[in-house]
Amino acid sequence: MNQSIQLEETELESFAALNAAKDVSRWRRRGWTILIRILSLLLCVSFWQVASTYHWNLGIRFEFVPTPTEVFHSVAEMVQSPKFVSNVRSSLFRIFAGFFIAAVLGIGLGLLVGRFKLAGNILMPPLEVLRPIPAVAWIPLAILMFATAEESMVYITFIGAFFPILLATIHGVESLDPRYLYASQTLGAGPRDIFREVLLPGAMPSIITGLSIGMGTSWFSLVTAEMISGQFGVGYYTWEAYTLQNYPDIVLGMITIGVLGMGSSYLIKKTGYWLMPWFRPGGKT
Amino acid sequence: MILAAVILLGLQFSGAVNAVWAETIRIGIGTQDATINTVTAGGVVREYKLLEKYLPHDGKYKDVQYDIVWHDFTSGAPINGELLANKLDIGIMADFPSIVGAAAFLKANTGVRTHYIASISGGIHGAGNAIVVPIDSPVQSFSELKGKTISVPFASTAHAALLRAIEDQGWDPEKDVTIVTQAPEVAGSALKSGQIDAHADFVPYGELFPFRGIARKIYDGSETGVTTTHGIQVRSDFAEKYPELVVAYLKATLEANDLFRKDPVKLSEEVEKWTGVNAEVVYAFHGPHGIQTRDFTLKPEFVNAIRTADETLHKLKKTDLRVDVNQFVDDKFIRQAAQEYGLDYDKKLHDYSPVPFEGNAEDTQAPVTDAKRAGQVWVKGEERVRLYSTAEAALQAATKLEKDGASIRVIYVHDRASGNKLFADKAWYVNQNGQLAAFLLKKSAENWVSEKGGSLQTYLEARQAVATASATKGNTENLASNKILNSGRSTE
Repeated sequence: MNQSIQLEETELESFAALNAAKDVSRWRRRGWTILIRILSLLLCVSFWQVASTYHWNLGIRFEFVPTPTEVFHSVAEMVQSPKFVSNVRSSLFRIFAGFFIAAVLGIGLGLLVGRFKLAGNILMPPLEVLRPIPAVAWIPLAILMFATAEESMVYITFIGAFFPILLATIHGVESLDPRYLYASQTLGAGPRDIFREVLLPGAMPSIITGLSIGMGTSWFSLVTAEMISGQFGVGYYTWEAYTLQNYPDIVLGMITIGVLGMGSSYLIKKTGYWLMPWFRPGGKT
Repeated sequence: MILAAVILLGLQFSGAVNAVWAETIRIGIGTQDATINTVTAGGVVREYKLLEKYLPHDGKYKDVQYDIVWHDFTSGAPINGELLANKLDIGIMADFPSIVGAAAFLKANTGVRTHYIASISGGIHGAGNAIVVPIDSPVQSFSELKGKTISVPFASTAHAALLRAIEDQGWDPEKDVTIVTQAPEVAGSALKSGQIDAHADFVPYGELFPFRGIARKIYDGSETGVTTTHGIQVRSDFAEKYPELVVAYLKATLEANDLFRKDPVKLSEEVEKWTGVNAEVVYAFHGPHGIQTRDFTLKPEFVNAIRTADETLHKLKKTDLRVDVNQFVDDKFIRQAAQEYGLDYDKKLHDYSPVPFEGNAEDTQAPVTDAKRAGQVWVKGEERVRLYSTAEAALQAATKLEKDGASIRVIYVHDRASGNKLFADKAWYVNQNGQLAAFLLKKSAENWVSEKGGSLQTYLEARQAVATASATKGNTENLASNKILNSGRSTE
C-alpha cells in the first residue's frame, strides 16, 4: 500500500517537474517572441530617426518627415493636455457605438439571410446596391441626415463595419455543412435550438473574422469622416494639425490611430477566443 | 548593400530630374478658385491663358518649354503643404495661411523660404470675412454666441478674424466658446442640418451661404476693423532662379484685373462657370463698391495684417519661431511688373478708393452722390446692372420691372453705416417717411431707429411700403389706408 502511494507521489513529482520544464521552455519562447517584436519596433523607429535627421531621399523623401524625437516632444505635451484625451475618448465612443450597432445588425441579418431564402431575396437587393458605396461617400449626406455631428460620425463608423460583418455571417451560415442541420433535426431539435446550438456556433469562426475586418474598416471610415467633417476625435486632431502645419502632431495622431486600431483588433481576437473555446486557429485545440 | 543600392538609385533619379529641368521649367500655381476675390490671380489668368501671353521666349528662356501646372484648393492650408513639398512654386492665399506656411518653411529649415510678393484683393477694414448661423437660428448678433460651438477653417484669415471678434467681446477662446476646424464645403451641410451653432468663413462663403438660403450672416469682418487680404506667395528658390517668370505671372494678374474692371458682369458670369459660385455673389465682390477691393499693391495695412497673423499664430501654436515679416513681404516683383505693364505702383499704393459706380442712376439721370444710399438691380438677360441713387428707388424699380414681366436676378443695397454691399432681400431696413436705410444687422437698424427715428422693417415690408407709396403718389385716400396698414403691421 505504502509503496504504491510513494510510487504515485514520485510519479506525480516527476510529472510536475516535467510540466515545470515545459512551462519554463514556454516562457522562454514567449520571452524571445516579445524580445524580437520589441526589437523590430525599435529598428523601425531608429531607421525613421536616422532617415529624417539626415534628410534621406530614397525616392520617398524623409526631408520633411518629423523625427521620432520631435514626435516624442508632442507626446509629452499632449499627455498633459485634456484636449487630446477628450479627442481619443470621442473617437473610442464613436467606434464602439458604431461597431456595436453594426455587429448586432450585421450578425442578426446575416443569420436570417443565410438561413432563409426569402429573407435573402427581400433584404439582399437593396443591401447589395448600398454595399459598394464607400463610407466616405456617405459623409455629405450623413451630415444632412442627422441632427448632431456625433450621430453622423457613429453612422459612418457603422457603415464601415456593417457590410464585412454581414457578408461574413452569411458566408458562415451558408458554408455550414448541411449534415449538421439534418442531424440535429433528426435528433428532434426545434428551430430555436438549431439557431442557438448549430447555426450560431457553426458560423462563429466566420463571424469573428467578419468582426475583425469590420473593426479595421470602421476605424478607416471614422478617421476619414473625422478628417473631413469632424468635430473632435483623433482623425480631427490629425487634420487640425495639418491645417496648422504641425507635422509632429500629425505623426502623433497617426500613431494614436494605429495603436487604438491595434488595441481594438486585439479585443476582438480575445473575444473570439473566449466565445469559441473549441476553435483555435492553426488547428490547435 | 541594398540600402546603398537604393540610395544610388535615388541619386540617379534626382540627377535625371535635373537634366529635364534644363529644358522644361515647371510653374506650379496653387489657386483657390472658389475664393472668388483671388480669381484675378487664378481662374482668369488660367482660363484666358494670360500667363502664356507674358512668359518670355528669348535670352535665358530661348529654348525653354513651360510646364504650367494649375492646382485648385478650397483653402490655403493644403497649398502650404504642396509649396513645402516643392509640388508648387506659387501659391494664392490670405494673410494668415501665408504666415502659417512661412513658419512651416522656417521649421523645415531647408534653406528655402516663401515670399509674399503681391496683393490680389483685400478689405482694409476686414470686409470679406463673416460669421453666419443656420437660417432658423434665433441668434441675431455675435454676442449671443457665448458658450456655443463655432466652426471655422483653421489657419485661415477668417480664423484670425474670429479670434479677434472673441477678443473684442472679452471672451476666452478656450473656455467661452468651442472652436472647431471645418472646411467651407462641410460647413454648408452642417449649417443646413443645424449641426453647428455658427460658422466663420472667408470670401465668398459669408455671402454665398446667405445667397443660397442656407445661412444668415450675423457678423461682418468689418466690425473688427482688422484688415484681411489675399495675396501671392512664391518659393524663394523659384523666385531667385526665374525672377522674370515671376514678373511675367504678375503682369498676367494685372491684365486679369483690367478685364474685371472693364466688364464685371461678363467676368462674373464666366467665373460662375469655373467655380460654381453664383455670378450675383461674384459681382457683389468685384462690381463697383464691391465688398472687397481688388488691389495689387502691398499696402501698409496689408503688411500689418500679415504681422498680426504672425502674432496670432505665435499665440495659437506656442512656438518660438517668428517670421521676419519685413523679409517675408517683398514688393520688388510687383513693382517691376507694374512698371512693365505701364501702371504707377506708388500712385496705386496710396489709392484707397473703391471701384466707382459708372454712368448715371436710372432714377435721377445723374451720377450717384452717396454710395451708401445707392441700390442696384440686376435683371435677367441684361449685360449691365441697373444703378439707382437710393435703396427705395431700387426697390420701387424692381417692383415695376417685375410687373412688366422682367425677371430679377438680384437687388443690391448698401449698409447705411459701413457702406458694405448687401443682398437687398437679406437686409434690415429703417423707413423714414419713405426713405430707406439698409443694414446687415437688426441691431444696427434698431440703433438707427433710436437715434434718428423711423420704423424698423423687413425686406418684404420695406418693399411693399415703397411700392404702395409710389403707386399712390397724389392719391390721398389710398395713402390713408396705407398708414393704417403700416401701423397695423408695426403692432404685430
